[in-house]
Amino acid sequence: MQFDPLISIHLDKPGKDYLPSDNLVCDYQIDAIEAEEILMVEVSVLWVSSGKGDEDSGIHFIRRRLADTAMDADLREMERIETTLPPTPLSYTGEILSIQWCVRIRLILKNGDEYVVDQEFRVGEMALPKMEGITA
Amino acid sequence: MLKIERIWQTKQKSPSQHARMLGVLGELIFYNVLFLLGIIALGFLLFSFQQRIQHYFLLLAIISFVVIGGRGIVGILSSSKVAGRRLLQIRRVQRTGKTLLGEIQDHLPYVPSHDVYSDSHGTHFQYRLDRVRSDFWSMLAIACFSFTWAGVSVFLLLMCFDSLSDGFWSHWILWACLLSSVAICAWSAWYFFVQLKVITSVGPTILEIDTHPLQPGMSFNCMVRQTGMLSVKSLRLYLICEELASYHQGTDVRTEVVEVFNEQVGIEKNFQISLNEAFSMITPIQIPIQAMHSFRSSSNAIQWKLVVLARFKTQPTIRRQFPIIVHPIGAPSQIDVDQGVSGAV
Repeated sequence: MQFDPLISIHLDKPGKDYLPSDNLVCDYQIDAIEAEEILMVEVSVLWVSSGKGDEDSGIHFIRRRLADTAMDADLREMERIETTLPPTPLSYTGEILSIQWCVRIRLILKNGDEYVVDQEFRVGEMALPKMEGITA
Repeated sequence: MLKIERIWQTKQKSPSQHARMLGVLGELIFYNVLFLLGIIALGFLLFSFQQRIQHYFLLLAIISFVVIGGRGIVGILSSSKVAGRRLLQIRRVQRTGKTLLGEIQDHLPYVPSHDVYSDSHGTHFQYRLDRVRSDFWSMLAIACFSFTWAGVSVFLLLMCFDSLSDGFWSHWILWACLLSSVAICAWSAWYFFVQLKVITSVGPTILEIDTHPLQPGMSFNCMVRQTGMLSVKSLRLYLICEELASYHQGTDVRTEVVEVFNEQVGIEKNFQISLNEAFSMITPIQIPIQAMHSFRSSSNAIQWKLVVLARFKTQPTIRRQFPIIVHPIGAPSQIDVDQGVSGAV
């Protein structure tokens, strides 16, 4: 029986609430797979739209690590990324449109299998009360 | 500690791109074949020596082949252009190793620029708002539509007269088509004259605001000015926020609009406007504190606007829209950024 690899993502803020222009620190780690099986690990910070319209996305940060260029480094080991979030767009939940920020890890194996894990977080003014439809 | 996080995460295998690519390729081949068939058939028909009345029917069908095929090809190519732009975006970030923030010229990514504000300053307040669409263009569009249908109706009428020699009931479908065409033509002509009446009798509506850019919780003053010689039943001003979502349905691109905020911010009833003196109304407006900022991406948008709805005693009702830009709280204005840059230089 073959198990899927474990991909763990940890954000520095426990509530996963960030202000615009905040610094985001993220640790990620891969487990339950042999190091030799991994071809590439890609980490990105992006927003993705969902709802009635076609999906839009905006990549704010991306880093790709390849097994060839990592030399003897083990791509499974814990890795940290840091980035300053942009002022916009803020997270949003509306009627036919939602904007969601996330850290996305893409793991591609040498046999062609691909695994994607998203860790969602919120970017917005936390002091504001929530109201459906027009809430940032 | 890290593994505890996993229970909150979603894990999925990425779907294969091959099926999607095959689908697009199949669609592209289909539209190309349709387009080429249309062109070839059109050539044969136009250079045919035995031109009969039935050929003109055939001509309509062949032209529709060319139009549908051409439109499909353009639609697929423009979709692939958007996908290519996304790939370019990823590659640029990978190459430089920087975040996109440093490369984006806008100080507020995905917030529309201030092009909705007219270059000319207002007479009462500093900023004059531009309209979404003027009456002239809608009138021109309906005029083209109306004249096209008039042409089709005349053409059908000639065909009907031509077919009378075979007896009235032998070509009853042609007569039915003529009636439908005349009905469409009459409706479009009526709508054209309504638009013409709006243009000639209802003067321009001008909106000016005293603050820019706007932010949630911010109050500002708005002046509405209406010109023309009018007897007004009511003039209302609304603050509206809309979500716009565009999506592909086959090769069509459809856009759905949903109002998520609508507040009447000003009203005036039963008054007269003379040619010498325009009507003016100043009203304070507040952007809600919970408001989402304006947003625009390839297929989605959040749009704030001021809408004037005026009902007249004799003229048709008008609804004129003026988009405004709402920035997030605490965002520096473009003016501040520009001054900062020029100051440093």
